[in-house]
Amino acid sequence: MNENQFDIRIENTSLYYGSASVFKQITHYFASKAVTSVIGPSGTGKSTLLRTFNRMNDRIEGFRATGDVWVGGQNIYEEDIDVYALRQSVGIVFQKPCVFPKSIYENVIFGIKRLQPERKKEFADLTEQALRKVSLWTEVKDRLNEPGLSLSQGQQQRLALARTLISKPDILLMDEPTSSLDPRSARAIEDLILSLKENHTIVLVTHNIGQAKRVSDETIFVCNGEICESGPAEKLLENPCCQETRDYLNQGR
Amino acid sequence: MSRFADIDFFHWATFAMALLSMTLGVGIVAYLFWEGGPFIWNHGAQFLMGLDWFPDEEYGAAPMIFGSAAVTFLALVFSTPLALASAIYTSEFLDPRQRLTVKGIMEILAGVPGIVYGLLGVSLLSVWIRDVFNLVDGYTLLSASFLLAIMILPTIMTLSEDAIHSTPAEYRQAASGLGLSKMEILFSVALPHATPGIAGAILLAIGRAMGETIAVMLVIGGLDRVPEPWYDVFSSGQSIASKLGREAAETLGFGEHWSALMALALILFFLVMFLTAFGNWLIKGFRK
Repeated sequence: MNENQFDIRIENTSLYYGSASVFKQITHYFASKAVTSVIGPSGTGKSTLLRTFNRMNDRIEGFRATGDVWVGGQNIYEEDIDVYALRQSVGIVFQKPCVFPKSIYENVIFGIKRLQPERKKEFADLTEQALRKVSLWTEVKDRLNEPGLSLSQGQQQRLALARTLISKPDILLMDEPTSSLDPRSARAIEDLILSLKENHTIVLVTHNIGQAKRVSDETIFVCNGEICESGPAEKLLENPCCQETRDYLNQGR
Repeated sequence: MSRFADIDFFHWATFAMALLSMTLGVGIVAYLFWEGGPFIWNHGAQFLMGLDWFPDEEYGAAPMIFGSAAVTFLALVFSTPLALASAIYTSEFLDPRQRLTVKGIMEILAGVPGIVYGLLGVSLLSVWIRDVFNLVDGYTLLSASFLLAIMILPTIMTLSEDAIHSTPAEYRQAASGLGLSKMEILFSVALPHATPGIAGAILLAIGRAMGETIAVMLVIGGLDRVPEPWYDVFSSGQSIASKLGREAAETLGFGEHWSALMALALILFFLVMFLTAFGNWLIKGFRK
């Protein structure tokens, strides 16, 4: 198996906050152009792991990563990495939809307006493409200049996704993207995840086992600073082999 | 039975105190109107535009209005860039403990009595200004402006810092996730978010500068005239507040001179009240 065909590979990676370690020597190859869901008890560092892949943890005092973290062919914790370019090719969507107090259009182009100002002429087209990808275009095409905050929570989350997709990232990180949404909006996001995996490698942190079953191809279960178990989502969620996984899955029933 | 009587008494007693406080506030405004209003009404433009002030002959407020506007404007010009730069540095680059230390010091400075600044102005600032610019004495509009700039610096700095620092973490996180650098986040997320708060801080500072009496009085020179040419900041001048401070004791609380001073006080009151109310509204309104 050629390791370069994986968009995200971690090898002997340890993550620390100060002297406390969050993960010890974990290794995993994330399936490309597929959805990998990360599940596990609260406080085990699922978000920390996710945010390692676009170095969003850099902002946190005391955070440290050792070992190799390969993302899109680069070992991203090496010194000469352009973190800002990395974050454009590794998009992230957070738990709570975050829409800036600006128009819908300004929200979609928020990043590229500042990072790729030379492409100004394409912005209108790119906006349409991005909004179509998140199935928001027909809903908002006549009101692009209205405030982004006038949209519903579910629409706001799709808007946030469009804002990320406009810079055409290969990888999408999703940190419990539906946990603050109503069930219908959550379903809409799940449908999007399924349609986006054709062209994107997606890592999804979720507490919702049903969601993990519905959208993911692979699942990893993290607990006590390690990856206890990983494998095809269906097998791991239906028939886990590790005791911790079984206990965790049983809690929800 | 007696328990209810107690509550009744408490209710009425606190109501009476609240009413008294309100009455005092409203009474002061009414008194200002009563004492100063007719003078403005009767003399109008002659009072507001008049260039000379000779008690019992003529009362022209223009030099004082000009003086207040000039020193306040210059104080802002000197103070704002410095205050904003320090606010940005404190909010964005200091760790939480250092930040609180800096803010603590700024809040102490904001509370230093005007007379203390005034004394420093007399003993240091006006001497430096005299020597640096080769003047006869250092009591000038420029000295008052510098002193006010120092006095309003902590107000602008600490309130602007609050505004910048209150930018929701989610906004910063979202922008950072899109690949924006710290600098870009500052300019396209934090500062736009903080703009109303910064504007409010500046308005409150203007209010403070306009109302400052003793410090300005000690260094402004006390000359009731609009400089010739008007932009000559090395000339002595007078602000509304310093005029009031200097002459209030000369009058006996009645007569035309007194009414003219009360008219000045009325103008000052309205300027400061408007600025403070609007400034507070901006600061509180945007935090919601």
